[in-house]
Amino acid sequence: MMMQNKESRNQIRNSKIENLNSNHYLFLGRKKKLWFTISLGLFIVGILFLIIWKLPFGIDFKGGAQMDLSFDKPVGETDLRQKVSEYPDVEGLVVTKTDQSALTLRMLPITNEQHQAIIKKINEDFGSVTEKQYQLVGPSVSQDLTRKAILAVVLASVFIILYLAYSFRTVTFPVSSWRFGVVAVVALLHDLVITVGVFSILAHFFHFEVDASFITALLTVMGFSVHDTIVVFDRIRENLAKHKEESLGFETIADMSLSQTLNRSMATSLTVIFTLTALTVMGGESIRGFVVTLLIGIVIGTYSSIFTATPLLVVWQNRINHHGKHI
Amino acid sequence: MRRSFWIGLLLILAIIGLSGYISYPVTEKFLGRDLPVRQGLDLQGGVRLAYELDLSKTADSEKTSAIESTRQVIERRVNSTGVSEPLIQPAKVGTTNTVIVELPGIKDVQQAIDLIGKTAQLEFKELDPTSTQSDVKWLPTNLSGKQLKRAQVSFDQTTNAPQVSLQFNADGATLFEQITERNINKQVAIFLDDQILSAPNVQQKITGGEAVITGQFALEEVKQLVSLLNAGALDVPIKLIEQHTVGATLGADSVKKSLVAGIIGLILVALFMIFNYRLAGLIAVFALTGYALITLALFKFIPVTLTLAGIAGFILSIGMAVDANILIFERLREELKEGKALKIALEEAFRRAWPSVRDSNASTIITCAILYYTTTGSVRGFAFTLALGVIVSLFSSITASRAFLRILAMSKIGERQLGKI
Repeated sequence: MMMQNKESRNQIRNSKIENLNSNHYLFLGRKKKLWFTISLGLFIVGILFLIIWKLPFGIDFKGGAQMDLSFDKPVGETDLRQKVSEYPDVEGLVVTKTDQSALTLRMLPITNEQHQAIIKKINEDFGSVTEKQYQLVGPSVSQDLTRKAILAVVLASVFIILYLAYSFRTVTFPVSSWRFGVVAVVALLHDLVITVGVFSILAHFFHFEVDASFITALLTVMGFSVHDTIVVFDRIRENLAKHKEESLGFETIADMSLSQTLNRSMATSLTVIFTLTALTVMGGESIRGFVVTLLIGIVIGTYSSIFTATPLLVVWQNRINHHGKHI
Repeated sequence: MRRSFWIGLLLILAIIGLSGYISYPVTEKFLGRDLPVRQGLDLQGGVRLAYELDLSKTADSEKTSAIESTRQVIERRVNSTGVSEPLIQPAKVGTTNTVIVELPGIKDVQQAIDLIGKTAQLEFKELDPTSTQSDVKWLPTNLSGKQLKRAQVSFDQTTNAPQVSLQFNADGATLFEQITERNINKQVAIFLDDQILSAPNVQQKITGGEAVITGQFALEEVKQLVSLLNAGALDVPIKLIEQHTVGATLGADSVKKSLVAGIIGLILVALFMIFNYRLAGLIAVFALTGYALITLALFKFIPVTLTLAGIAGFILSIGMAVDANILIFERLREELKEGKALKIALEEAFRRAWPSVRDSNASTIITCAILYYTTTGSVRGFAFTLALGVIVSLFSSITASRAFLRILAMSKIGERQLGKI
């Protein structure tokens, strides 16, 4: 504890000494700043692109009718758009080409009869067409999905904080147990925001869409992020108990824990990345957006458990040591 | 080794063997139970419909029973199409009441939509005098659901047997009086959507617009009958607000591709484990195979409807099962580095890795439980398979792996090879 206090004082007074003092850290000490910069950078870039390109919300969120059509011969995008927009009842038409002879039509909600009439007309105008998929989503359905997802994230965060506070209850010194939960949840939110940001960039280039499965992917990332963070925190918990007598300082303990769990973090992430990459490259098209979201989220989640969560815990602890009061 | 250890090992092998048998594609029955592989809409094609119920004309106190009545009417209609394993479920979307209908593998979506969307037709019919024992014909009367105020479950005052009470409005009371007068000691039938619901015998002329249908009914039967009668009496228009049709080819295509991709991914994981952790990695691969078999067997036995999101949950749970093994093996390496003997290091590794395995998986299970209870549809399926997978993985990575490793550690070769981790 003494060393810790001295160090934080040095940080303010003399950067040269601080250099010497914190060089023995593998991940923490002065390097914390670098990790925070990277996180902040990703955060800002993510949000920036979110603002510029927006999230391409799909029909699950916006509501409307969507037909995935496949023709027996190539059909031009503009040609189809022009013809279909002249049909009665078609409003807010968007046509996207997915393949040589496959196109997607999207419009404001229509009734069942209108849907049948439109398909019939397309058949007449463009030759044999197969409707591979048809979706109709009312506005109340789409609002409900968002509401439920947000509720789930908030509830899960609260329960994770509670569970960790309970599970880490043996650790009361120097870090009170509920701080582990709070930091885990902050890291989780960090992962979610960056994943959404990176997704918005990829979606811009690869035409991914935000649908109900995107929510599932984000929730998975959330689960994995906490899973990963807990493994590191568990090691901190163990080392705090083990080195109780040695007064090593929290930062040293945390740093030690990070290097001990590094192999495991890498190995686990690699195995998940193997599976997800295989699914991205070779899996069905309909799950690609989903799998890519998972892939981004899990890479970020592994990064944050090492480079965001633990450093945050240390910074919080240092501030308390410095100000001498509990926040 | 203690006897309990060997019993435990035998039990583990028995569970895995049994699971292998159940998950084997040809096995169709177990413990008298059918083992269907249920595929969700996104896999086998079909349609998902959501109907909004217009309850504006329904009194608050009757809303719950009105929803249930509507659900039952839709269920009857769906069953008449012969679709296997339909799902008909009331769901609250925001503040609107809806009924979700899922019809997997249906060919004629249009016909189903037309059929479900009809308003319920409740009619009272009397026997045609020309009908015979073998050829029963019914004649329409003017009495229909419009004149029925409500149906209720009541109990006979002397025998306490459950019965159905009917209440007609003034118009209906007159009509009913006339019908019963004409048909004393004859049957009068109640039809819903052209299907017979009940055909009680008229015992006397009934005036005043209140009647009871008695008989050897179980309470459940009476409740169902009442519910269907009410559906005919209540005016609950339904509106299609969501439709999701998936062509069978799209589903089959994505399943095949994703399955192949998933298997390749898992082979890569297995190679990684063996390459990285040698003999222990090989054992982990065995334990994980057992894990996959147990999970698949549970999917078939429960049964779980497989959707793309569900498969994603399963694959993620494999990732977490692998993680538990990695945690233990990394720990084993550390313990060996500290110079401990293999057997001691092995026990230590399991003991010390346990808290992090427990806490990380507990947090996943908590998240899954919340997802399961707050969401519907695919997200819910995902939460269920992930939670199931995580629970089974605790068994495989802790219990099964440990038993296998202990056995190996007993032999000289095994001890030497495991030490090379």
